[in-house]
Amino acid sequence: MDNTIIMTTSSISGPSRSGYSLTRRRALTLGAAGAAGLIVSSRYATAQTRLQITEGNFQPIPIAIPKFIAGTPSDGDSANGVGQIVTANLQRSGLFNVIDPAAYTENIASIDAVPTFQSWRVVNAQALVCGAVTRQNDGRLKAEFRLWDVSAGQQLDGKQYVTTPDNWRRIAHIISDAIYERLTGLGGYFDSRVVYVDETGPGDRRIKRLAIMDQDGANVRYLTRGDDLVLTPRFSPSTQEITYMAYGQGDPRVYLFNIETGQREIVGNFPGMSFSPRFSPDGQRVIMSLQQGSNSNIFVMDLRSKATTRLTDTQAIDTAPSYAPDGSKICFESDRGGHQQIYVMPSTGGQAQRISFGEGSYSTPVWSPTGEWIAFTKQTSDAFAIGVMKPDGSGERILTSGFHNEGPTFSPNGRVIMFFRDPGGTSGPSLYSIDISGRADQRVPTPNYGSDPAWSPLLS
Amino acid sequence: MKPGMTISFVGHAVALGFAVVAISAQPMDAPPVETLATQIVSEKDFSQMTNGVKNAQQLKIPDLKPLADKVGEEKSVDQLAPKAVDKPAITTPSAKSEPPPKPDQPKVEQKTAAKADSKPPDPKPPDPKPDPTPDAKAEPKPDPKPDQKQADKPKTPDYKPDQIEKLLKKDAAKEAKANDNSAQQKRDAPRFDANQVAQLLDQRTPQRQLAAASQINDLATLGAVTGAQSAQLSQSEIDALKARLSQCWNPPAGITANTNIYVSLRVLMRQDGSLAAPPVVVEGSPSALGPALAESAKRALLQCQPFTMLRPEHYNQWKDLQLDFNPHELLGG
Repeated sequence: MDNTIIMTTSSISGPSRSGYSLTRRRALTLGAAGAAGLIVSSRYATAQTRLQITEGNFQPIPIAIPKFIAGTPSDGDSANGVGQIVTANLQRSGLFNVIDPAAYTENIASIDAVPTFQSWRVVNAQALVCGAVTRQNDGRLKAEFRLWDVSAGQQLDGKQYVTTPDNWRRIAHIISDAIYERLTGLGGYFDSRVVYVDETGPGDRRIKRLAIMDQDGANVRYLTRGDDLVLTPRFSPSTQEITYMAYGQGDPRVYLFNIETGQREIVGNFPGMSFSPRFSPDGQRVIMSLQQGSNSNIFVMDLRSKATTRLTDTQAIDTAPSYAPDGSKICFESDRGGHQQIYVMPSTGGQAQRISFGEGSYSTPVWSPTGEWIAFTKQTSDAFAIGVMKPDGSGERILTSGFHNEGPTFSPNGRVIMFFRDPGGTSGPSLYSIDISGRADQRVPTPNYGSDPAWSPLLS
Repeated sequence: MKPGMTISFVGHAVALGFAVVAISAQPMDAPPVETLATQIVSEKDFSQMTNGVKNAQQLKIPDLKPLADKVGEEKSVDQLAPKAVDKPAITTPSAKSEPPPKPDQPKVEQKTAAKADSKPPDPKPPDPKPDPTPDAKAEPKPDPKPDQKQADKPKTPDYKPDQIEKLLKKDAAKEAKANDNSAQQKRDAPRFDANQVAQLLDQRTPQRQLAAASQINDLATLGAVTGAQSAQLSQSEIDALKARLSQCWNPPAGITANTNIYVSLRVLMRQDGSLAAPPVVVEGSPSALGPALAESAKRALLQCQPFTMLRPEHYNQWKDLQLDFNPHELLGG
């Protein structure tokens, strides 16, 4: 599959009057404006009453997304498809509430006309997305959208993209990201993929294949044939590479796989390994735990030179290491205190500090790409839970708990966690995603059973 | 009947009889409870009470009531002030230029404070000039008489400190004449004897008299600038506006406990509580989240108008608002 996408992006400004498009550059200059504002405001300061509003009310943003307009009659399918993906992405994020199209009173006929804001205010929309998809004479697809602030009557964003027609799905994800970023202030995550282990067959003869899909569950492709048992794929945070572990005959092998080129490389045979290595933030090294007798210790390996450095040397099981996004620290699980708990230590080795102190045992810690959270699996006597805590151990929050939840992985913006959940009984595991606030817990559609998800960085 | 029964009857009868007499002899009166008068005061009244107004109308001197520190029989403190001339002369040679303690000084200042605005204050001791004929007896201590006069008559609008000087000069000249050995004292004058410092101290007990009147004088004084808004736009209106805005404001999801960011909007209001113009950003933190934050704040204002909790009679206070949207407390951060 050709993943290199040729795409032209251009901003489109307000249609009929002086458009007020707050772009990223404008966002950065807000600081300068703020400084100027200080001077301006001091002039008013004496005459004004000044109040501080320090509390708010977090709610999904009500947004209206009318059908995308087809440039020519033959573009109807693409236009509908793009519109539907944008709608589904935003709704699934949990941060938006897409208003039912049946309530819309205005029919958007042209993307270049200013909508009648009053008719969108009556349906309580705060934001409005107008989009159009047109196939150009050269065969390429042009997708454009405008994002309107309904209450202020302003255009917030407007962009157009030109690409080959088979990339229409990615365009839809990129448009979703633009809207999401503009309204939430967060980085986007829709234009990303997930590698997971696809499971088919009966429980005692399960076939496990490595699969990759878009983050919304579309475009599933298989990366291995199912001859070997594959486990715990890990995505590089900076490149389109994964590591995974495969049990053929004998010891598990660790592979390094380039998604874009399909190139596969054996990193090594590691006896008694239970989790695949994770990448360092720059993608140049991997960190892993190796078993020695009944103990397990943490090592770092340079992917090019294969030089290996030992980080811990304890009479305990230290495993599941994960890098902080700045690469300065690692978190890992260890039973050196009696139970499995999460520890943090400098990535060059040194004193480890225990950060989890709750009841039960904590495992599979993973550091969020923003550095703000560490997600973990927590096992108590009757349940497996997925939770997050800050890297200093404070603010522990259980997001979901049940018979079996495991293997959290963060979206590229650190806002959503994907994990797998096994309801028990004769069925198998499925992938789920949940917002870091604990809301928007929902299944990610996969054709078969799925486990061990690993989220990619943004594609663009 | 057995004797035991009889004894029991008699014993019970005696006990009951005693109880009836003993208890009824002492009536159990509940002492009357004194009631406490209360009055309900609104926050607005309270803020008006406790805050001064910078541009308050200035009180004219004839409007001033006599000072009263406590309620009681009417008693002006001025007459009770000690006469400073009663003070025995201190005879250390070095005491010439020592200004004596003035026990009644605070009172005088308190009185003159009322006039402070109309005239440049003159708290200087009314002896700015060096005494032309310094001698032992003539201590350059200000005769409290002029002070008394000033305190007695706050109504004299054309009071001049020069009068005191004249009086002082006269007094000094009189005393200089009466004293024979002034010339000798003059020679000894500038020496300071550290061993006799104690003698320099005024040994009299301080006399601070409380002025009494039928009611305590609680005239409003000139107040702090911050009083201007709270005196009129009451705290309950401010709180209601804040609560409404907090309810309406849906901050961008990118805000986290670690985000230190704010945006300040200037809002012009109409008298009916609706916005007269779209809110304008006047200040903001430099951040990529800035635009999303500013727009969420604007949406809160636009969607929740009109703000009917703001009373039209205070329109001057809320027609031009500056609102700081500062989400750092949102997540308990």
